[in-house]
Amino acid sequence: MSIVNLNVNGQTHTLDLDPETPLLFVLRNDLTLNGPRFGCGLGQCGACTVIIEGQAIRSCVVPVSSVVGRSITTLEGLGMAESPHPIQQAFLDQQAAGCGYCISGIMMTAKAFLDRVPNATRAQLINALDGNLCRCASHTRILKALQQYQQQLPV
Amino acid sequence: MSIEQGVRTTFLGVSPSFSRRSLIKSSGMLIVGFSLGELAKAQETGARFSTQSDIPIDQLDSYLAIGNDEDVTVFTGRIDMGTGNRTCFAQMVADELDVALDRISLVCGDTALTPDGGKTTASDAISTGGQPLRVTAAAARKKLLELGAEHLGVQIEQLAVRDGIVSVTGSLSRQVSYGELIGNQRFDIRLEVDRITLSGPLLKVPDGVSLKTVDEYRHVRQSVARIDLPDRMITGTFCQNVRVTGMLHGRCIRPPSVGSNLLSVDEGLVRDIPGFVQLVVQGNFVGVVCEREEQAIQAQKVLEPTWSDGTGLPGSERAYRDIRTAAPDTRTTDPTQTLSHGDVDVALMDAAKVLTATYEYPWNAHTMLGPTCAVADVREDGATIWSGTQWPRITQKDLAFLLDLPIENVRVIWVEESGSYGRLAAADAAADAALLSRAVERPVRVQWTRLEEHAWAPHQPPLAVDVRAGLNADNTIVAWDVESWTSTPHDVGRGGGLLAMRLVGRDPGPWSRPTLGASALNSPYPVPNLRSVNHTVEPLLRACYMRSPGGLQATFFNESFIDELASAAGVDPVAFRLRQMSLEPDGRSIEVLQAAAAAVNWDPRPSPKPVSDSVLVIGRGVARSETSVTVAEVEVDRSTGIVRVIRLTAALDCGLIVNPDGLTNQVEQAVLQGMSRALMEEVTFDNSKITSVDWITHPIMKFSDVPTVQVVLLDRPDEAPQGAGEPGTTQLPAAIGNAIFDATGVRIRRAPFTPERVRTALAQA
Repeated sequence: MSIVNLNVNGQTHTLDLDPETPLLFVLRNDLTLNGPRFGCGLGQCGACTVIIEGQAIRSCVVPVSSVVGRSITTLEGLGMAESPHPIQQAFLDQQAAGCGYCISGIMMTAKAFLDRVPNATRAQLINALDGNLCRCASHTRILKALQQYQQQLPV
Repeated sequence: MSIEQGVRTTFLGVSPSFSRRSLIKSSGMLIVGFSLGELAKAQETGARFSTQSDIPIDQLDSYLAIGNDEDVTVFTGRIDMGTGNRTCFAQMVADELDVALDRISLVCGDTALTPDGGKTTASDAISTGGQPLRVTAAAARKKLLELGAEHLGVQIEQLAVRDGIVSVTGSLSRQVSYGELIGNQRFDIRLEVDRITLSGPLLKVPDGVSLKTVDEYRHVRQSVARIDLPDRMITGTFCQNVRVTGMLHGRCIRPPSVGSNLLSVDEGLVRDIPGFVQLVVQGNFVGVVCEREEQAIQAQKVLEPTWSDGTGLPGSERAYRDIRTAAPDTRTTDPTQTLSHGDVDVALMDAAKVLTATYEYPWNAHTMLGPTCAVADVREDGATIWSGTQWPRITQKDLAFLLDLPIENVRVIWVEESGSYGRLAAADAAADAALLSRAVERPVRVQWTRLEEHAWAPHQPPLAVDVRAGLNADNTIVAWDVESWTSTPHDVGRGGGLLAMRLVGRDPGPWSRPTLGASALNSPYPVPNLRSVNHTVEPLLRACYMRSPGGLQATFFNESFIDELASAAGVDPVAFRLRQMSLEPDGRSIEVLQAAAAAVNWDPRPSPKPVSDSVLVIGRGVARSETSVTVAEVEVDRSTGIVRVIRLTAALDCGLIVNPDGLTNQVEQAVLQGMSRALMEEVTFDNSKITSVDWITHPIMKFSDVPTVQVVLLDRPDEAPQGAGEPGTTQLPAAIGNAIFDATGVRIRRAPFTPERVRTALAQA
């Protein structure tokens, strides 16, 4: 065990744990965040995606030691149900989910990408999302929601 | 389409006078927005329990309560696995009760709080699950009018109700609210049960009570936003996020092969892992419990017990052959599963053309995106389990059996997991967590791994079919002769349905499930001579129905073979179907096929298209079942065998549409999931174990596979509402297979249509 300082959603947390612990379990179990979700633990599905300094990162395969001192954003860092972030509002407006389990990871992946490429084409967006799986197959509405979100981004 | 916002998502306990309400309060479950922190408090007060008889299915108060604050709480044994049925229930109750939609909150699938609602499967949540809610709301409204008349000193006929306010017509200042009339009090009205189904009770509409008619609906038939989506998408109210004070983390270690027995296990391998709490071994059930999740994962990795060789599997390729030659004691040919009329043999001899074919559909896996997860707190005198079970009362019964506890001492609380499509009829993680929690005497969360979910979840059995049909000279079908082989699951709810029960050696009981179902066995079109024989074989793997069980597989062979007949007759596939349907016309089925054809501007011509030299060829295919139709347009790369779906059009008649946008959403998803199954999904196994174990070895569709999706809904406000999850997905393998045939002239009679299979078929053609 060792002392680890984590900067999550603008707050610093000091934790005593095995530095090899995957970031996902620290976010979920120590910081009790519901956004990042366990889907595979293999980096194959994207349900655990968080944003670390602008990059969409699979938190299930990143040891916590490698993100010390870096700025980590989870879904909770964007907004809450009462005060949703525009990307969350777009998903609500388009009713873009079945069960909703994958949506946090998809929002984080899309936000990181669109922050960099706000005027991305549909093909570029699809390419950016292709590693995120949705088993309910809500893909068409997810793409509509992201199109809505994109329209309000400053280009 | 506009979305009406505003149904509140809060679960609110209001009345200390109700035992169930006081349970909610005293156990800390005054849940606002489903705060998961509050769930933990429920734990600290100790479990409270109830049996089915404590929440009688024939009492109005079991389903509905109105608070002093005018809030309406609806209690249903049904669960909402992400299809939006809760929202539809709220709409239906709002209309029957005449209350504002945002006054309604729902409690779902808690065995201590909700009446038995049976199982949430078979796309019948709206039709069967909604029925008792409509009836109780209407009966409550009648009682409230009676109370209102008394209170206001007028006749009932002089009263009007809107948004929970009863007022005197023409004198609106004379009014009284529902809360003032009955707030925090019981209705004490007994309702008559019409019949009890596996999908819960259906209630009789009491004398003097009338259900609203279509022209009186204010909320039903509106596109109301799903009440569960803010919680699911933003708050994350999943079972995976249930955190209970003092909770430990458990993981299980599974046998290497089907039928392996545990020989030895060395606790020394895990004892020194930091946070290690206990190794739990019971029969072939092996689990580890640690303080932290990553510690449990490490213990799971390093434990490596010794196992005997398994009983073996035939390998995926032999599975179809083996299902046909299964030992007689594992095979039933139930007489009720043989359909017959006319004289098939004579008709086939006299037919102008006879076609024969063999179709095969593989084992399918639900592959929930979040592997199943449960939290259990088992104490000496009782147990509380949080699970995404689709059948809370059966999970309660199973766990009581497994833990040797009286059923009334087991409380199952449904919390949404990721979409399960039938898989959580067997809530496996709940049993794992229960065994581990009992051993360590603390609450335990068990999160299945990806490999467990892909390989150890129960799967949808395959179907093998030999089919023969004869055409008359006028190109109508004169004979339909089918022999099929399939498997159906072991009973759940009798012990043995859950993986942990098998592993600890609880006898699964005799395998005695009924077969595929007559509707799947029957000819999809009226034919003068029919023979359909179905053999049902004990499943090779642990089995559990998956969205449209039997229906999707049977429609694959029915609608592909109909297409073969149309092609042999040289007739346009839509015209061929309409001609055959006209023998015993069903207006709704015919209209929905015509609507689908119109929506895609269907070009009437026989399939396949004339042979082309291009590498990329395009084709279209149609498939239907009952009142659902799908048209697929595909592009096939003849060099690689890659099939790209360009456009999918689904036309459905689901009767009355409770929530148009919700239904459209559900159909869009069902269609794409069906496409994914048709193109790439198959459970594979070798001679000892399942080999499709993750998203690489068992891929599903990605964003880059998404075609244009078009949904056409036929509005039938005067017909009973029907579900859409299954009807939306049933046609996809047949529609896509027919489109591949149209494009290439090659018929592929086994799904999925992987590039390798398509390439091989094209090369052999």
